[in-house]
Amino acid sequence: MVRSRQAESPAPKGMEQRKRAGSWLQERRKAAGLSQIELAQRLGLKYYTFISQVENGFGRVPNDSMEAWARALNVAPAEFARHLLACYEPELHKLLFEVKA
Amino acid sequence: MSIVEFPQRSFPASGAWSADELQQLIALFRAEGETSFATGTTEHGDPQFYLLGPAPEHECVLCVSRLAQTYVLEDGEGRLIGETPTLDGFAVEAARAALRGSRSLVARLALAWCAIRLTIEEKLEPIFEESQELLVRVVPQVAAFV
Repeated sequence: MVRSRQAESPAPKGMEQRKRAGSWLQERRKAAGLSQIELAQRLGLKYYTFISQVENGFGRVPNDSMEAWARALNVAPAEFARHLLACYEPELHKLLFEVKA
Repeated sequence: MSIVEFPQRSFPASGAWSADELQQLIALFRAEGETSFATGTTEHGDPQFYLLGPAPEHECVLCVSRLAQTYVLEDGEGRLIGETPTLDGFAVEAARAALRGSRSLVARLALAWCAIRLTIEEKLEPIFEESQELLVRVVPQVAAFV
């Protein structure tokens, strides 16, 4: 029996957060004047499909390649990581950067 | 000398998955547990199929994309797992990927499951069907002697 099903709507919270990150990344990429293929080339990826996966909100930028993404998109790595952390892990971001001791 | 022309596989130019492809993908990745999936397209209109992990995160575990005449399989972190001209070819890629230690556990389990299921469907089911047919033919004849 096939029990596969299309992801339910409305989108779960985690997916919403990733979609927000994906939209921001797409804006940054366009601002840098890059296509998905060009960005993939700058990141040394064989295919550009992962860029789309991330921008569509289904994947995350891996921690170990965040710096490369930031530099490819002409964003300061610390600012880039902080923005993505706010999207992917808002609670952690809040604790680290918003809650005063 | 006569040349036998093999029928060409027809690939949709781009855009959404065809109904056949989608059915094949769902069948390929169906598992005993609940599995979610979603579809999308790249900036260039190439279709993508996302196999999603458990709720509530529903993070992408595996992604299949069709680029020109190649299907590309990646895990949720963008690691290339396989590339093949047919969706069935993923069984082989899956078996290989399952043996590699560097893949994520969920991806490895999903892929191993695909490989096993495809092997069962392709190799064992015809054998069972054949034996069933044989039984249907032989039993009435044996019964006549008893």
